[in-house]
Amino acid sequence: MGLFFYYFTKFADHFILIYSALLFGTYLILSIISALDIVNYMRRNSFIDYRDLLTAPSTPSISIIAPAYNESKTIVENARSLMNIHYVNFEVIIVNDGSKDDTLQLMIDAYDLEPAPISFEQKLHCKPIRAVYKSRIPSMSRLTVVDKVNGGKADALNAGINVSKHGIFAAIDVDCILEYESLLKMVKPFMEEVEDEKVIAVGGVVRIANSCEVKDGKIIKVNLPKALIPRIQVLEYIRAFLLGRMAWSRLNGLILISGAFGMFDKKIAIASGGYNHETVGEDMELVIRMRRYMEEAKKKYKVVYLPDPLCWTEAPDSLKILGKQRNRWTRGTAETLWIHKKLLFNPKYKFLGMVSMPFWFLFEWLAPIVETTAFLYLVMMAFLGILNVELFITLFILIYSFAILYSTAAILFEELSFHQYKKKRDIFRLLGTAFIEPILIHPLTVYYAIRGNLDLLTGVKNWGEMKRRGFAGKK
Amino acid sequence: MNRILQIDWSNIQYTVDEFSRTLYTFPVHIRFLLGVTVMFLVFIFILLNVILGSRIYKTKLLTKRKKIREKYKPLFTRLLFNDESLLLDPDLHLQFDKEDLTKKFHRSIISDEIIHLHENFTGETASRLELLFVKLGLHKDSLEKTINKRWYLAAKGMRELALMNVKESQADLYSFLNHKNDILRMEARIAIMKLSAEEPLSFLSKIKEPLSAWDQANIHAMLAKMPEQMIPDFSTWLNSSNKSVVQFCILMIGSFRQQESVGVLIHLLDHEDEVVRLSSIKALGELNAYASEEKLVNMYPLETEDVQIEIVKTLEAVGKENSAHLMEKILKQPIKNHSISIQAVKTFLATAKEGKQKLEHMLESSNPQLRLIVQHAQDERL
Repeated sequence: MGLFFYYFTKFADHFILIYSALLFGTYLILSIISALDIVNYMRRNSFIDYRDLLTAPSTPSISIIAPAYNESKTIVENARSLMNIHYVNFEVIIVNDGSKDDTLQLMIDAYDLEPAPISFEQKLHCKPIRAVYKSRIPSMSRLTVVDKVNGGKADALNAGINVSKHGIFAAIDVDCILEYESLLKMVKPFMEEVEDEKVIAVGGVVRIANSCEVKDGKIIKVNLPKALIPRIQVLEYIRAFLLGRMAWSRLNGLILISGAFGMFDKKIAIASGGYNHETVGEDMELVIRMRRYMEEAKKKYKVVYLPDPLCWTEAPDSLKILGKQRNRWTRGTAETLWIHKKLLFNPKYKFLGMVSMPFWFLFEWLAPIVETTAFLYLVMMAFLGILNVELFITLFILIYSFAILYSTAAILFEELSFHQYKKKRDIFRLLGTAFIEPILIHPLTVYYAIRGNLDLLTGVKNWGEMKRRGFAGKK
Repeated sequence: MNRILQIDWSNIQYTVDEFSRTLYTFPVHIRFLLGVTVMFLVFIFILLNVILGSRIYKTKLLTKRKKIREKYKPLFTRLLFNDESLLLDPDLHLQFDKEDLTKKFHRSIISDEIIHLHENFTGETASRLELLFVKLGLHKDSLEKTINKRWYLAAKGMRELALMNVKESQADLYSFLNHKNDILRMEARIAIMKLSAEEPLSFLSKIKEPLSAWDQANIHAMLAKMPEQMIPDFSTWLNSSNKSVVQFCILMIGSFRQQESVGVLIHLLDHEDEVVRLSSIKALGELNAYASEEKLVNMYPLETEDVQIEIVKTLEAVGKENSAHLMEKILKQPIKNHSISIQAVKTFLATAKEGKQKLEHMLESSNPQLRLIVQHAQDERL
């Protein structure tokens, strides 16, 4: 027993060290790739004048699909904001996913809607559609409202795809605020595709709008959130979007496009089977399935990611809602990895199977589990009085300093590229947040992830309600 | 402060030595981890300084730009609106501080300022700014940039030359048309279009790389702003070996209503490439080319679904009885593609004599699905 315990502790010590080194190394490599790619993107983008094409008829038509569930507080404003997007050819499809409140009635009243005789092919499975509404007001001709039986976000998006008219669709959270040129920027990669390499999906940066000044559905002044919880999420989003996804896009290994705003090739999305109802991580699952479809069909393809801040969303401002959100994200990741387990370490799927999927498995899904296990192991060692205090303290300082370094690098990227937070005070506050986040919030996010995994094992399927305060009154 | 000055430095040395001694008692892996931690801390310190430094640098740069801009604001106003003869003065440069015309950074601010002003003016005022740009020798800076190895500087140089209408630079730009960098190719095309009054699209004969849909939309947007007499006959390039050039020219024939090319477009309906056929059908629709009806009706059964939809759409504009027969046939068949069926109803109503009555008659013996399709097709909002 003594010898077993000795080898066990040796193994555990080494495992923690090697895992941490691999994690740090991977993140550092990704940051370097991201940095180089952002510089390149910024330089290229400085030569593009989007204004010329905002009104050009030769740009492709886009269907914007926004599912809505119990959004009565903000739906009328949000729909108006979506219809005021600057682009020539687009339609807005709001899918009322069986809301229990008066979301539908509010839209009917505000936009003078009436049932329309629409005929469409049910290419993707979805719950029954009760009615499709169009406005009697000519200036609202872009708007289509679909009323259907509740089936969840994936189901609502599938219904929207079935009803949509155009070859490219944008899936968007109804409460998101889009930047002036966002649709044109997102559609550009589709227009740039070369014959032998198809662009199947494009994602953009989602930013946090808490504390920002909003007028008529537009962000007019960017502020750093005053409250700590959303401010920490600003940092998390900058890290994830600027340091992580940019690099994955460069390596053509991106498997997650945020459900808040993403653009997809409709034919490929339908051919892959559309959104999956069986997971709460439908955004990631769709991208993996589209990639899998292309790999299996042996077709060249690309998933593109843009670092521009294109979409603004409201982040949870209470620990309770944050917990629900992170719980759902973990369940979504685990479910998606399980659904596509065949791809893991499978050389047939090239980069997707050998790098992207293993990364998500080892460093996204497994990380909180390893962290918790390591913590429990250290507690056990301390309890037994055989804790290697030197190693514990050194490791703690090392991990803490890496966390700060990574966040500081993310803030630097933001500062040198898009420079959204203009006030000096905001930058200092963001830097301060980088120092406290690893101690204050990170342990909680690890806890939420563990709860997510436990919920998954016990069969919890719900989406977790996200209470919105709405932007309408913020000015 | 006194306390700091009173520090016993020899004692500090002792502390450092003591620390080092203690450090060496740690196992190797802990020393290694501490080393990595120190490295991380150093990086954090450097990054913090870069963040703060970049803020200070940006503010300084903005102030400098503002200062120079403010300094020459009265002079630019005089040159543009009051004292035009000043532009012909051989000693014009004396109106500027020597430092501002010799220092690279200052010259670039003046250059940017003139270009920025130019964007807001047209006609004679814009020409004066172009003359000022050349008189100050700023075009030479732009030309120099075009041969810079860094692509973004070369592209900036080309853009400046194009914006400031430096026509003599045009010949140098052709070499970038087939450059491996797509931004340089794009800037070269834009510059040639802006600088060449007689043949703005002469580059179409020279490009080997494909024009993406984005490139095509940009060229189209530029052409839309040009006077009509500058729009070339696009049929010139329909035999190009570059397929994207052919596709672009077909679409432009439709967009600029070049009726004289209808014959060639009908001929292209037999092209082996689907994209070329699809573009030709669209263009024929825009040209209201009635002569294409027979060919379109005949080719319909053998085409792909994408081409079939386009044929049915075009027949709404160019079709007559022949098209009506085809639409009737489509509507009587089981529905295989909703978009085709919906468009077929629209085309049937536009081409058949007493189409509405015939459609009503057709509906009497058909399934409810067709009724919904007919209602959908007749609702203009859908």
